[in-house]
Amino acid sequence: MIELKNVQKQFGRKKVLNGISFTIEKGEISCLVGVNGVGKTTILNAIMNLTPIKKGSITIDGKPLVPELYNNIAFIPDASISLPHFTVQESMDFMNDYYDTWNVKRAKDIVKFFRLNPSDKLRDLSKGNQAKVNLLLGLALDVDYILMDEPFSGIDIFTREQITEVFSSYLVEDRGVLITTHEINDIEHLLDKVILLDEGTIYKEFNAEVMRETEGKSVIDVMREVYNG
Amino acid sequence: MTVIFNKRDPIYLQVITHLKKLIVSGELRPGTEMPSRRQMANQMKINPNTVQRAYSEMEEQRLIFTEPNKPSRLTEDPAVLNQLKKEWLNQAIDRFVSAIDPIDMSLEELLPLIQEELSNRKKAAK
Amino acid sequence: MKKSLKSLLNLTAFELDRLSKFLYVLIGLTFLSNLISYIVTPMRYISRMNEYMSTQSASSQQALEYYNRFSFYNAIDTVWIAGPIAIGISGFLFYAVFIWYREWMGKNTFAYRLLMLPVPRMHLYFSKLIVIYLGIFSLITTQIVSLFIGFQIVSAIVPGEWFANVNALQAIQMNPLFIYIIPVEPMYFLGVNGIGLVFIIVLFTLILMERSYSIKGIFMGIVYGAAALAISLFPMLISDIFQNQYILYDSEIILILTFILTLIAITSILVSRHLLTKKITI
Repeated sequence: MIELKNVQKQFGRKKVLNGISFTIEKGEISCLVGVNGVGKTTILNAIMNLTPIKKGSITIDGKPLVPELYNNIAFIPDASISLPHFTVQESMDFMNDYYDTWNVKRAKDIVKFFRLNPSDKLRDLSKGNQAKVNLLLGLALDVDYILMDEPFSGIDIFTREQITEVFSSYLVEDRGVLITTHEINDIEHLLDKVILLDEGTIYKEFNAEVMRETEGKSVIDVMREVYNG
Repeated sequence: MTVIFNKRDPIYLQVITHLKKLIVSGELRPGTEMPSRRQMANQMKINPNTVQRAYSEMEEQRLIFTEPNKPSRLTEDPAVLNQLKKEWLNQAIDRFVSAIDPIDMSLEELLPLIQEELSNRKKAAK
Repeated sequence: MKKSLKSLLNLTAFELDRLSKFLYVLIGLTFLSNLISYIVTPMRYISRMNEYMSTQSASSQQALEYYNRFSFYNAIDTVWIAGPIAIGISGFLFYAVFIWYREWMGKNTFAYRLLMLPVPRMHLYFSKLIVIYLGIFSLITTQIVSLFIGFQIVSAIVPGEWFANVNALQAIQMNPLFIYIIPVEPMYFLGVNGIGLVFIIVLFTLILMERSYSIKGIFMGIVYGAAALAISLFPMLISDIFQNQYILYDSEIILILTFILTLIAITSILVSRHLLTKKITI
């Protein structure tokens, strides 16, 4: 379980996170929803110890993040995280050099699934294919937790469909997944937990299926109420 | 097996309805091995937890059963299957009746219309 | 421990690979520029000698009295030699900054990958520091090799009776520039490289301050850098402060300076470690 307790963060005078608390459970797909610039990426960066927090605590299975734990929690940011002059294969080899949990076989499967060519240089790839490489480099790790920042932003519809398929596949099975997005439409039927965020505060947190069952509301219905009401 | 889900009903219930339809139509034969939770999630492009929920609900209704260390199977119990068919029919009739309720028509007037529609469908299927 | 060392070596090899193009350019530039010096300077001397002999109808002996024998020293006391050294030093100063900022540049924020490696973050720091020094030493080696090749070239070009009996080592020792960058005088060499190392360690801390606190970090960096500089200059100022030139021996000043520089280096590394593990922002 990844647990955030009362996490606060400031950039200069501006409060970006204003006491955020939630948990990410293994075997669940959770989604942080909110318009751009409400601190979604900051939350992921804070979990990954890529930016310091002012107050509060973040633990992974009860422990604070130490470098060894990067073997157990993968982050797929919305930016290329390999080198442009690397080929897909070289990017994978780099991972294999450092991560104990890099799974060569699974990496091969994902390359096939996404129809990537291992000898392509990253800088020659389309934006959609670059996003796929990013996913590949995260998903091929045998980790318990996966964080994805805006996996669908700026990507064509066919790539989006392929990426959506990841969420119902063995690639995320039994793992704790946290996605951030500002467009929920394509994925709402895939989610367990939905966390609505605005101005650094959690407005509402609920289980999507329970919401449909008890109140007959779709995730978008709830968002409409929360953000317009 | 692509199913279009609506966004306001619980997905697991939509999955169950879909599977029940396959059972009453005979597309899924009694005793058939069910796909694993993972396979089914992958086929329907939904969350494996939702499949899990649908399966356990169907197990409770005795539509599927699981022996230890074996894949789940569809029931062969005729009582359960008949019950399901009856239930399906009742629901359909219920929907049909409430749909035509506003129109004042007798059963005699309706019957030929229904018969015609049925034969049209059979032709279309061929 | 063994695995940890392996990851440090891996990272260093990786950084070295990224440095290689830059280093090859500097090495090529050094050789090329030096070669010009080794050929052009003696040729110019020969033509001057010949011109003197023909215009003054002088003998070779008289020309030598006028122009002196050509020594290897003449061939290495030129801008063709000093130039690449200056470019090399400024190149590595630039690279010491670039080696960090490159990770954050453009759309490809490789910093994500590096900071999320399951290895202590100080490995990143040390791999970068080591690679800069590997680069500097490669360039120094290049310079040494070049000088010995150069000596062969020059002695082949200049006629024997015009060539002064100064060997390569003597010529190198005569040039004050080389005292600092070639280990002919170990103490000087160690001193200069030691100061250089502390300088880069402090520079790394300033960069990490900026990466951690952005604009506020720049001010912190300026204050920290100025403080480090002031403290290092302190031993040189002791005699002025006490208005007594003889209060300390030179060796004592060097000892104090060494102590102070070591202290600054250790402090900077500890501050860097704190910043890199706790404060850095992607």
